[in-house]
Amino acid sequence: MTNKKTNLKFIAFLILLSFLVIPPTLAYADDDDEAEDIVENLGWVAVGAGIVANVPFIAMNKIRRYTLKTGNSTMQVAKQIRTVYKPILNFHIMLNSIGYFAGMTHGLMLSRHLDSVSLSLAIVMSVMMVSGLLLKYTSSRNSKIFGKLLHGQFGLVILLASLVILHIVVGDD
Amino acid sequence: MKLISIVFVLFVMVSVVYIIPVAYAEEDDDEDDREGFGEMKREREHQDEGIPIGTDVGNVILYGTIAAIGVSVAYTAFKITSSKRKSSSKS
Repeated sequence: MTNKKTNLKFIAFLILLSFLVIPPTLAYADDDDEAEDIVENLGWVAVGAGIVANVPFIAMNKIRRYTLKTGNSTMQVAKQIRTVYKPILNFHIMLNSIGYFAGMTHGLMLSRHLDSVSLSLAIVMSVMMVSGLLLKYTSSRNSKIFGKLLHGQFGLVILLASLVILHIVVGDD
Repeated sequence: MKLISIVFVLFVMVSVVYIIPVAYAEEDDDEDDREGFGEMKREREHQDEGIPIGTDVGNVILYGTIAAIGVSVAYTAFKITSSKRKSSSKS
């Protein structure tokens, strides 16, 4: 019981501390020149986090499926991948969450320059995030299958990647 | 304890995410000291950027994205219901 209380106190302390970290960033948003550099950097953080979180994870899944399909000789590789699957999944979830929040902060701070590409990107990112949360935290079998199928849809991944590229190209002009 | 360590790592990473852009932006403070006409030009540049909502291309992108999401959700739901129907007809 006391251990739980200490944990809660520590979490509350971290939340309070985060309120001290985030406001300086938000405060810069009122100052035009500096704010735009910061907010642009937040966007690059989101893009970087997305690439680092997803490329190795997708590659690992593809290799695992391939090794399972090809059979005996490559079974050892599949077993090795299975042992590191959980940490890589956690890494994928954590970095994607950070990328999502960095991206959303970037979008909210630049909401006066809102265009259709940014709005579409925000919608697709939110759909991917919600399906991921559904996949991770729901206990119902149907919701889990729904989340799994939706989260792993190749079309949505391609749409997200192309919107990110379009957003970067349009934003740079 | 596990929850604490996850929250702590998350906190550190979120802090890094928010601090790095601020620190990086402070370094090149002096690079962009445009005033007067330069500032007006900059404002105009911002007004021109992007594909605004309501234009033809903008609408195509936005409604295309919403339609693509709708189609994938419907396809997923269809896949689940069809597999359920198959399994119930087998039993």
